[in-house]
Amino acid sequence: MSVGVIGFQMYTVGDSAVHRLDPRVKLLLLVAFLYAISFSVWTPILPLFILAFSLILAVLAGKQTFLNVVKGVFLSVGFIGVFLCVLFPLYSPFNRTILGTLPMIGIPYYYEGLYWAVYTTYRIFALFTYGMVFFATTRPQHLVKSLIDMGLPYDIGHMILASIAVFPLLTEEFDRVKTAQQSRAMMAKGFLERFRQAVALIIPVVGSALGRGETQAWVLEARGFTSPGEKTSLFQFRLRRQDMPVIIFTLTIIIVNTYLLIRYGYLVDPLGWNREVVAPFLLFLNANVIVFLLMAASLSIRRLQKR
Amino acid sequence: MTNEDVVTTNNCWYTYNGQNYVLSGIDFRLGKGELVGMAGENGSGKTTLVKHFNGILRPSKGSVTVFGKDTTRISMARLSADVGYVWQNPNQQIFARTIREEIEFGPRNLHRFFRQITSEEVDTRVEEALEKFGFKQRAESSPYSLTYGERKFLCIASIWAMRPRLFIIDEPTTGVDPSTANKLREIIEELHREGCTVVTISHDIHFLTFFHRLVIMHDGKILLDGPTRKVFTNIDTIRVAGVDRPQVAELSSRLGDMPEDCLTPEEFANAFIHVYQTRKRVEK
Repeated sequence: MSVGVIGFQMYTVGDSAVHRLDPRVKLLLLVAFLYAISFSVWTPILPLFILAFSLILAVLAGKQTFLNVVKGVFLSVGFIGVFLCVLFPLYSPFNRTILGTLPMIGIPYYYEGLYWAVYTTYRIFALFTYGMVFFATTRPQHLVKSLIDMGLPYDIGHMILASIAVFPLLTEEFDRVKTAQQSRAMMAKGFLERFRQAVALIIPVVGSALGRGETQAWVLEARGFTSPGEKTSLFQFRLRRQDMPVIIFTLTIIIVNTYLLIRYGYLVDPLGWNREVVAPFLLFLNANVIVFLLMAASLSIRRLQKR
Repeated sequence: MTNEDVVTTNNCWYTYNGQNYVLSGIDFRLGKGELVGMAGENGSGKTTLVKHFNGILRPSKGSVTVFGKDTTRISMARLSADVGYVWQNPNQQIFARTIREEIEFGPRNLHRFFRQITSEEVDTRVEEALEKFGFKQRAESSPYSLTYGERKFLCIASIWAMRPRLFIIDEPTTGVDPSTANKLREIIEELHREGCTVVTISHDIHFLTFFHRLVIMHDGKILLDGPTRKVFTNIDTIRVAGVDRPQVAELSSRLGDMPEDCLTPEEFANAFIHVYQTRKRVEK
């Protein structure tokens, strides 16, 4: 499941100040954070700031939104973090200091790679936390409408919305076909067997998705989807007074980062932090974040089970 | 529970979301060799109830015992050897590349995972199913080349090949023409003659008239349960459940002197002639 799909599925109904912000402003802030995180490579302060800011937004958006954000981040970053922590210590251009060798195969793994993996996970974690706040507080329809307002072709916008609507149906269909197979004495034994059975499910599910897509295309056509002229929408967005502080904040981030980038360059720590000193701090922080996420996930699962 | 009981539910409750109960304390017994029809409005709990019979769903409260086994302690796959479930939408059941593979899937699993039948027995059953359901000539064709009605037959064939003792068929008449519905009815009668216990859900009241026992569900509860003919005479209760009576039964009631339990045009015609001749004799 891609991160984008998780994101689009995680909108949580609410009426907080964060929910009410103009989707374009929230999107612009996401772009600013992406820019800042991408270029301020050796500055651990910035991700920490984004993380704290995003968590405050999540709390302001309500309890359920906060839980959904934590769950979404855990699902997406957990996988990426494990992948990076396995790959980078083995193969990274920064690798210098050998920490040990892998048993059986004898490949060395390096301190710098591990540090880089943990640090990258930490940066992604910070960015995704805001990303999840963005998705959890922005209705997909509003998001697509704001994208259309910013120049996205109407047809593509509609395609995005249709895909979002179809995805839960496909998931449901996938589960139903799987249950239908299990009700004919099918048992999943071992990884390979499960994989083989999952592949067998693809045919009916994709077949059904194509059929559904075709039907929807006809239905849209029957209601004049391709008729010429400008399309109107139920939602019309206008910037309001409460959006202004966020816009100013976003512009500040972009300007400060651009200044730092020009003044100090891509791979320089402007505060002069020594990465040997920073590394243990980051490891400690990451461990805390993982423990926090595990606790939040187990709480969410328990809550779901109680239901 | 007696030796003859196929399914017993004791105070069965079920909820999908942890809040609203779709089944509210169902007590239900299904005897060996029964031919049972189920009706009720959409959302009344029919499908939810029968999905408990083969372990697709497990009760939130209460218990469900199938062939003497508690469904919470046995896997759906193992239960499927005794309980066959034909889904309402054939497209959710069919997935194989050919008709033969589709029919073979269930029996082959019984051989692979449970060693319940031999490989030769699997082949024999597949050939028998192809023959019985008229797919012999098209065995290597794709199931997706079949019409909707034919796909329903294929689904029944693929379950029949597993030789379950209890057959559950969910809304077989939805989306099929009257001729296919009649064929489905013949198939169900044949399954019953072979000794299977059959439970069928349907909104087609005419289709349900040939079942021996009829269960009417409403709002997660069983409102009426008994011989079909008797159930259809409970006019007021049936109305509450949002189920129509057969047209001939309705016509009989409105004509006054006619018996209320007519279920078929033949029965109506015979009763009408009898009443007409009696009146004529009285007038003379």
